[in-house]
Order: sequence, then C-alpha cells, then structure tokens
Amino acid sequence: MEIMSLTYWIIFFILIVGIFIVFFKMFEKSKPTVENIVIIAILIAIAALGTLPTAAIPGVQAASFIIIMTGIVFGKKTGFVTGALTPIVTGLFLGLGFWTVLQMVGWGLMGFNAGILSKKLKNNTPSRAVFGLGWGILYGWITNIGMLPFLGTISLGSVLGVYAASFTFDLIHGIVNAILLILLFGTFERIFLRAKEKYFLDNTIA
Amino acid sequence: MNLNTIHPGVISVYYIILILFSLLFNNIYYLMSLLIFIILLIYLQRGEKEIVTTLKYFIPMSLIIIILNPLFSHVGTTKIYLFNNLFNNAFNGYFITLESLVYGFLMAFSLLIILLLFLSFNKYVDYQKILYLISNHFPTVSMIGVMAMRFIPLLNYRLGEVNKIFKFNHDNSNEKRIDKVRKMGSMLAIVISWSLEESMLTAKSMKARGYGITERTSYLKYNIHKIDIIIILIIAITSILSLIGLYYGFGNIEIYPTLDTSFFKFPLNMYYIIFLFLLSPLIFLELMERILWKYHGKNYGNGGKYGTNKIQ
Repeated sequence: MEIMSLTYWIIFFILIVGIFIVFFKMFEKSKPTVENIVIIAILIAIAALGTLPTAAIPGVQAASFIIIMTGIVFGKKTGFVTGALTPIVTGLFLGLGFWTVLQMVGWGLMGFNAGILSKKLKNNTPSRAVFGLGWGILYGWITNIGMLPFLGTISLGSVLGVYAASFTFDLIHGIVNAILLILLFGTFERIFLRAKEKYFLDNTIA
Repeated sequence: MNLNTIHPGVISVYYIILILFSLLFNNIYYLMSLLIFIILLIYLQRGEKEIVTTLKYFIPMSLIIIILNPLFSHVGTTKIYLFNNLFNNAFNGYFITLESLVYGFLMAFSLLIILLLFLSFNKYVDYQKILYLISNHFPTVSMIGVMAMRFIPLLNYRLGEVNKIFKFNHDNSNEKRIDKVRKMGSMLAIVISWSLEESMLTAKSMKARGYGITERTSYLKYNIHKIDIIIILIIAITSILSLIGLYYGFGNIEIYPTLDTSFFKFPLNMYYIIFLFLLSPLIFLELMERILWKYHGKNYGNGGKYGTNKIQ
C-alpha cells in the first residue's frame, strides 16, 4: 500500500474514533441518571447475547432488533449509545478488531435513526418492516468498508464486487430484522414502555 | 519483569505500530518475519487454538481480495491473457496483470497478519485493562461496560431456565418456524421484563449506597515502570529507523507499474536487522519469564516445570 492511501485510511479511522469520543464525552457531560445507565447496560447485554457462541439458545440474532426497539421507545440518544456500545461489549468477550469501529458506526446510526423516525415507526407495521430490511442491508454496507483498504485500486467495480460478495448475508440479516419487527414489536414495546413510564417519568430521556 | 506489569497503553501503541507497518512494508521477507513473530508470540501466549477461528474469517476475505484485485485493477505491464487459446468468444483479449495478482496476495498476507495481531493483542489486554484505560476519561461508559459484562451471563442463565420450563409445558413436535420465532420472542420477553424489573432495583440500591457522589476509582493501578520506558525507547528508535529505511526504499518492493526483479532477494541490510529488533521486545520478555521461572521457580511452590505439581 502506498503511503498516501494508507494516510487517508488512517485519517478516516481517526475521524470516526474522534467523533465517537466527542459523542461519549457529551453523554458523560449530560450526567445520565443511575436508572438510565442500568437500563442501557441491560439492553446492551440483551443485544450482545445473540452474538455470543456460549448463549443458552444459539441463533438469537436479535441485536439489530433490540437496538431498533431501543431507538423507537427510548429515543435517539439512548438508541445511539446502546448501538455504539454493543460491539465494544461483544468485542470484550470475543476480541476487538478494526471491524469493531465500523460495527459501532452501523449500530449507533441504526439506533439513532430509529429514534428520529420513532413516531412513524410506532403506528405503521409496513414502515417498520421496510426500516428493518433497509438497515440490515445498510449495516452490512457500512461494515464492508473495512475490506476496502485491502483492494489496491478503489474503483466502482472492485467496491461493487465486495458488496456483491456479502449481499446474501446482508439480505438475510435484513429479512430477520423485518420478521422480528413485524412479529414481536407489540410485546417488546409493552415491556419497554412499562419500564420507561415507571422509572423515567420524573427524568425524561431526550 | 512481569508482562502484566507493562502499562496497557504501551502495549496498545506497540500493536498499532505493528499494524501500520504490516500495511506499509510489502517486502515478502519483512512480512514473513512479522508472521513468524506473531505466530511465535501467540504460541507463547497459549492461544494456538484461536488461530483456527481466525482462519475461518480470513479465508473468505482473502479469496475476495485475491480475486477482486486483478479483476478490477488493470494497472501493470505484465499481461496474462485469459481465455485466449480456448475459442473465439467475447472474452478474447481479456487480461489480468501479474502485478495486480501479486499485490492482491501481499494484501491478503497483510490482512492475515493484522487479524493475528488483534488476536494476540486481545490475549495481552483483557477486558479489565481496556475498561481501566477507558475509565479515567469515560467513567459512565466504562460503568455501563462493566454492568453489561455482568448482565450477559446472568441473562444467559435465565434464558436457559425459562427455556427448560417452556420445553416442559409445550410439546414442540410439530410447530412451524413462525411459531418457533414467536416462542423465542415470548421467552426473550419474559427474561427481559424480569431482568429490567430487577435491574431497576439494582439502580435504586446503587443510588442508596451513594453511586456517583465521588470520582470513580479503578481496581487496577498501573504506573510507568523502568521496563515501560525501556520498551518505549526500543520501539521508538527502531520504528523511526525502519521508517527512514522505508524512505530510502528498504523493505518496499516496486509492484506497479512493473514488478521489481529483486522480489525474492533476501534483504540483508542494516534496516532489516533493525526491523527484527522492533519485533523482539515482547518475545524476549516472554522467554525471559519462562527462563526465570525455570531456574528460580524452585523457590516458589512445589518446584516442577512451570509450577505443575509433578512428582519428580
């Protein structure tokens, strides 16, 4: 790899990490309440559960679903923090790598976006399904960026090649998201809303 | 002289430098020595078993890299014509270049080294050390991390318990896939509502005991020792000299536009030896530890090899 292109990639990664540091600093400054901290920790644990091989029931790939639900019910800030910290926690179990940073971007934005669109997504089942499908694919596209430094020349063809190679996985991820958001939305909304109304009425989460 | 006393920040910086160098240097001998170094280190850390799982990720990724590089980059002068002598078809005259093929192989090589470096890094810097590094600047985030780490096994245990009860109550001989998803959902829902309720009690109890009143302190404590300074100096000097060598063209083979003829030539020069020195500190420390243990271990425990209670 030439020094120039390597420098660009280093700058790119440092920028992403820097943006995350700024956001986490803002999160620290906002002095979240103890209940807020505990609830984020529990949500991260639920999201991380499906990705671990030691799970009691394997194949509970519900991480994206839980993060989208968090965004819808608890708002964009909690959705972003939950999404961004889930890969770190799974990484502490399974090992961190350069892909962790991109997973943080993918899931963090997923939770954030779900929080922004929460009004629309709450009342409309088809829009939820489309949202889950779209973000499943988009998450795969974001994590694919980690492959690009190893392609000598970044042309449209080579990028499309990488994205085509992973497209089936992304599609499955999206379809699973959509199915879970159609089937289980009501149950989980009830549970989350109950926790929210019971413990956060005096201090609303933005 | 214990590896656990080295500051995790120093180890992190060292691994970042190694990752960058594995991308910068593309001389096959440099990469080979990096690979041998990292495999030896993982072996000393007793992580040989994890190499197999790393390879599972590596093989498909490397195939993509090796195939896509020549397909889409037609830079290079040595043309290899495909489909030429078969029959006259539309692909006649389609070529890949040797240079891009070689480039793809070297990049896959770098990727393998990077994946193994991360594996070895995770062996040295466990979650406690990472949380220690984070906790000074992000006390809340590190607290969330600690709690999530604790909740995962708990939730797992509870999910297992609920699963047993479900198996007992429902016969699942002829259920459709959608029923399975529903069942999984209701199981998750039970565990989550249970855990959320209990976690709120945890929060109340934390509040009652005065969480957040003072600064958070960490259970681990690292100071900069003499050994840290020595390692920092070794790394700084050798990496700067290696970069100077790279500037003068040592350790980097010209690939584009024409592959250098000295591709397989052994780089016997001062800069290569300096590069080897850059790789030495951790291996040296690991070996020193073993030697110390072997010759002075008699004073500790039952003596035997590596502290096992073998009857001599």
